Amino acid sequence: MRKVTLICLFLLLIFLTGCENTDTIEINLEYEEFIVVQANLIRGMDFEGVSITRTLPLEKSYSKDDAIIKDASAFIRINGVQIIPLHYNNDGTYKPLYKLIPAAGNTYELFAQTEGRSVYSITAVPSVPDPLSSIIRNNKCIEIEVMQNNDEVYGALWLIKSGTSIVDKSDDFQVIESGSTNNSPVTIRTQDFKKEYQNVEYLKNIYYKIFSFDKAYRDYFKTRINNTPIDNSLLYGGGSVIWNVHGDNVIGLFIGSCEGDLVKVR
Amino acid sequence: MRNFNIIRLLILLSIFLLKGCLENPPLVSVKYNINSTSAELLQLLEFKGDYINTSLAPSLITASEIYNSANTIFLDIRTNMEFTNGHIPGAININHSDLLEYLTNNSTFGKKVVIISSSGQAAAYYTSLLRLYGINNVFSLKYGMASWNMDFADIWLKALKNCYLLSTFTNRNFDKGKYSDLPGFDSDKNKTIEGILYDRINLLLKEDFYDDSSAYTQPSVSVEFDSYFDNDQFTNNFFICFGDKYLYYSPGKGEDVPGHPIGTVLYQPYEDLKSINFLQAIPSDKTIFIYCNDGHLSAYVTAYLRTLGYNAHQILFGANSLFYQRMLDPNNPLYRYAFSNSFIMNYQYEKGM
Repeated sequence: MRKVTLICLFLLLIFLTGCENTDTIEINLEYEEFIVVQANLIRGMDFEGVSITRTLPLEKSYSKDDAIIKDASAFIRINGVQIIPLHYNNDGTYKPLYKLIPAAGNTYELFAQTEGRSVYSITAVPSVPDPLSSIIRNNKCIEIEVMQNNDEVYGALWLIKSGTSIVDKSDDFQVIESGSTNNSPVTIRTQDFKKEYQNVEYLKNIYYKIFSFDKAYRDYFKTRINNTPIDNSLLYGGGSVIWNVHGDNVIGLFIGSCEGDLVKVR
Repeated sequence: MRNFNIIRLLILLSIFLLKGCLENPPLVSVKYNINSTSAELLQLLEFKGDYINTSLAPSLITASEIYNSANTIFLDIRTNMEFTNGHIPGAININHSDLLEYLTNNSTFGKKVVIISSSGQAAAYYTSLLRLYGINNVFSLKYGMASWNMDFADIWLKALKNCYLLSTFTNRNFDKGKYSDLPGFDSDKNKTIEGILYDRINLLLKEDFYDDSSAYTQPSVSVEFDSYFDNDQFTNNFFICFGDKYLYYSPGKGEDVPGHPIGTVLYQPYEDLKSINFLQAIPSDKTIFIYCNDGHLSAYVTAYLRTLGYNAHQILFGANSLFYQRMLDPNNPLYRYAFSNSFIMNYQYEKGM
């Protein structure tokens, strides 16, 4: 019996070690270019355009001019029908000829072609988040109940206000969440307050703001590198991040979002 | 029995672990494109300046502005007989289908090119096509030869009337419809979009602006309202009033006051035809008829829509052939668009070739 057990455990060990993917890292790793696409469609705000760039080899000194792709053909399509051509601007972005203000409930698709490659993404612009209640949890963070609406996801920031000015706010979202069913509450929380704010005096002036996003933002948020935001799309590329822009060697975010009102915690 | 259970458990465990070790399936190659020549054409027209939605359109020039002007080329697109019977001194008689070839093969740098027709509306249409192509020094003579001399003015003077169906018009507002896909048209897929635009403009330049023989079947580019329409056709087609509220609504209150044909939708110049606004609220599966105050701007718009593939047609003379009497009231904002003898300059003209 003991022998049988040992044999089985031995076999199991072989299986487990055999499954290990060993990546052989070669010193001369061939550079693979990625196209990086970035755009935010913020409800009610002038669309600032789509950035379409390429990653550069590590050994090459960075040049914005080399990274920016200037001759892509790009369009946005609204609700599967309305075509909005995009045009290259000198600031490196592709924008509509006229002001485009994303509207809640609309679906926006991005089509682009460059250097023989196709780029595609789709996003929905969410509605204004609807907070139901909020509490300060253990003087450390704010927990907010939000009404779940469609396929949206939510995040929250804390802010400290002095007079009419915002003097500080959280660096980032703590979590991006959604509820399981529509029209039911979902609880989200902010990052912890900085230590100096974890007292009654500051908590009197603490506010929060909820952001709603297209659901694809949650997967990106969970998988982004080192849990830091990708601010500079000209530099980042590859990895196990879940992007919502698709194409051969294409990464990026094309995301609809909505910023809620500044709300005082009661 | 106990051994058997252990072995069974180990096998199960191995299956779960192995499943986790399987390589991720390869990514499916993504091939998406907008797959629409009209969309690419729209992009190109916007890139070229989106002419139809700028204050450059319509590119009209009046008889008084070109009288005795230097550095102006007059291209008269009327028939040979009409040209022989009288034309602006120095004008060249040319068929509308040859306009693009002429302008690309002859230097017009530093000069204005003025397209001349009988009433100004055909010239407006072809000028719009040339402008969309990118020829920016071309203009159409407002009111055509009718504005040059009384001897040519009949074409306008006889068009001034209240149409037969005016009593069926309404002041009711009709909202713009649902968005639909851009229309398609035949094109050579092997060509660049610039090449496709050239072919498209050339094709449209070859079409006659008015063809009497097809008046009751397939409309030509332009139609006379009274000759073409009866009551039934209002609902089967899509009417665009291209102007402001003063053109759309007649003065006075109530829905029974005759403002526009039933079903007509108001499109405001310089705004509503933009791609971000209501261009695609124009149905791509219907015949579209467009009118404006005096037939010029609607001719420019008709050219633009036909370039994109819409089955668009212009209603000749605009409001002047729909409700001319209303326009004669000096208090009506449409008064300045009412054609009158004051628009006729009675300049001298030449005869013969």
